[in-house]
Amino acid sequence: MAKKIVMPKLGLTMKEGKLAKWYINEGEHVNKGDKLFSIETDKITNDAEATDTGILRKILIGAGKVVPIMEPVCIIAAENEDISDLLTNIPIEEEKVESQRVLEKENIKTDGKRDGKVKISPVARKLADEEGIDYQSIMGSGPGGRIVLEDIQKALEEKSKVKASPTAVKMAAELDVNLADIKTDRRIMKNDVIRAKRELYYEGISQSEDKRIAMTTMRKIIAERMSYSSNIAPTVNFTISVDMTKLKELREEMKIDKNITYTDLIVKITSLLLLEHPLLNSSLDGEEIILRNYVNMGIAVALEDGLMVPVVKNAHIKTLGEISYEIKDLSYRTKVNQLTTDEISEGTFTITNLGMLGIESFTPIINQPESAILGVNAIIDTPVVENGTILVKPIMKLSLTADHRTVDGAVAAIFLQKLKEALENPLRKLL
Amino acid sequence: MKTMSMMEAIREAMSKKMREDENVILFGEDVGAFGGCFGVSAGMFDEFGPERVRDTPISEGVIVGTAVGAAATGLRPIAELMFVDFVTVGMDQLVNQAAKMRYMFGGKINLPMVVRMPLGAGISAAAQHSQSLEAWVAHVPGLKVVYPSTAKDAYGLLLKAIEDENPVIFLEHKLLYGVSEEIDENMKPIEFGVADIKRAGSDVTIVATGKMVHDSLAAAKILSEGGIEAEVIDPRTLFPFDKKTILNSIEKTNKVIIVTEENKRGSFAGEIAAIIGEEGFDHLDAPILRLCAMDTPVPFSPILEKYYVPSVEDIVSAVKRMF
Repeated sequence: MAKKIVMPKLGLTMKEGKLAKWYINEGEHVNKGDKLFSIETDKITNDAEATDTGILRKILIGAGKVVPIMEPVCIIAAENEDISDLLTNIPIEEEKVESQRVLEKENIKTDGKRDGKVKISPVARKLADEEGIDYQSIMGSGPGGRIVLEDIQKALEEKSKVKASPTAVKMAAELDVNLADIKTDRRIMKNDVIRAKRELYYEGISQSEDKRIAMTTMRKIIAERMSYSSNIAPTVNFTISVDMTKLKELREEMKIDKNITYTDLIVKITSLLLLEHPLLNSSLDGEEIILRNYVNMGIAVALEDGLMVPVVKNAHIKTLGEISYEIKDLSYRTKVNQLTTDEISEGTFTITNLGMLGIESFTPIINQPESAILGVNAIIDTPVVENGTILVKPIMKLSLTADHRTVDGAVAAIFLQKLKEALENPLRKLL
Repeated sequence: MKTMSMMEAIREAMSKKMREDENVILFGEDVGAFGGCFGVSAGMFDEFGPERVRDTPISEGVIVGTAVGAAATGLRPIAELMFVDFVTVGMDQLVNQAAKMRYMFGGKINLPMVVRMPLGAGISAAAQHSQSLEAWVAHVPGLKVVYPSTAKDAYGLLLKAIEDENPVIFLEHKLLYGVSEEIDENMKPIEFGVADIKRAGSDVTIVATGKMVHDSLAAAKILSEGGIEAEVIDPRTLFPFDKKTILNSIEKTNKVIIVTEENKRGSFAGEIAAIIGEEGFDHLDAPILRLCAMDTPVPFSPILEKYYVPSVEDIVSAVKRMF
């Protein structure tokens, strides 16, 4: 019994295979199970075995040709069996392969897009581009299948056509809703119209409006510097709680003479401590780290429409009174826009205090090229367990952000720990 | 108002200018007592005399050269060549002298001369007396090229050509000498560089010159019966060239075909197509078509000659191919 042998399907995704080699020549005998030909797919190479015993009467596909699966590649039959019937049903090999190729080239892919160039007139392409119409999938009606203006106009019309259920249409008329305003990929139903109506109602009340204002120069600089810092520095954030009992007492005592603020005290103590932790007071410059034996302390000052960081130069050697005076002076002149460029440059560390606004913890962004910034938070009376007793103590959290390029976690942690100690025992540091 | 054929319009325009200005003169082969090969100057010898209407030897080099010399020294010559085909003999005077002088003298010279040249096929005058060589002259900077298709345009444009201070080539299609219409003899000269929309339409633009304007109009009538409204535009002057009217039309119709009687290869039709391709690309909904004569010499046989030149039917079927 004559039999056509086909290109087998060797895997779920296999669509075609290359007939790499024939093991048997035309006219030779073949036993069932003999290796007949080898197949290469994009994944594997495999041998096809004869499924029948007989003579390989006709090779339909020569070696080296790519064949779609289930396509006949040869005929096995008895020696003198008439196979003309089978042959007539099979197109000549060359044509078969060629037409398959052509088909592939011009075939429409599953997503409806054609491969390669699409013939489209300039004016049609321009309109399609302007209106965002994907012309790849449009069948052209012009000469030679060219997509012409009319085709794009029709596609536009089709796009703007609204599909809606009869109830939805009726409802839309009753509720005065324009169906074209409802954005949906499927048919518009009654509920879509009701939802749209509700949205329209609220929109009518809220009168939503976007307003655009030009950025001020300061805003632009802040945006630029903060983005730069955020992009360039891998940051680590640390939080520690500080018992402010003693510092609070100290301040209350000082207040009788001078209005010393918590910021003043923290600036003074931090400045002294920074000398012992030079990496937190350092800057990265190319492949070098700049270490300092002085501290220029930046103080973040909020403005109505921005933020400035004036600098208390050499804060490590200034007295508390001098620091306090200078911070007040700098803050005032920041607010009345009278700072010189000198006074806002060369900072080595920054302190930013949001405590007066009740903030308990935050993650400030480093003022580059500095290596760290200290966020100061609100002092809050908090129940604390001490020696098995619950006490109420004024607790303040410190939020440190450090640039991990220069400051490792442990280095920052030790600094914070020491700072906590110093603030909890202020006289030790101040004297 | 007076009904005039194009031939009469050309004669009237020349005579009008000669009456107004004694510096305007006419010369060429047999333009004198004989009245010109086609009879354009009939009667002018009698009116203006042998001084101002002169016969020349059979030498186009001499004719054009004389015009250059006369114009350079203060006259306003009108030279007639019997056929555009013979301009080849006068080409040196035209291209290397007439066209260059104003430029080479730094604009300090006026060269107010008109060279009239009958052109076109259709009278079985064979290969050497039937060509359409407008592209040859339109190619040369320094020459203005006028190609009217109606009697009125011929009248108005020739008045302008004679007034112009530069060399003007004035092309006259032999088969159009007979087309006539009413002309106001006191009409203003027609400015160069202004195309004329001979028929308004919305679906396709036909740019045509010379006799092809009339064939395009006939084709437009047939197309209209099939629902295609063609706009027929005659540029009237090939230099200066009115791009704007054509581009505006294409913005409306999105399709354009250029019909001329030239050999297609290297034709001025190609120049027009290139301009449209460069400046009107975004408005095109179909390839720009050129419908021209075949790339062979003009045949003598009337049947072949008819086949050689684009016909009304050719225009109709070419336009239909764009839809």
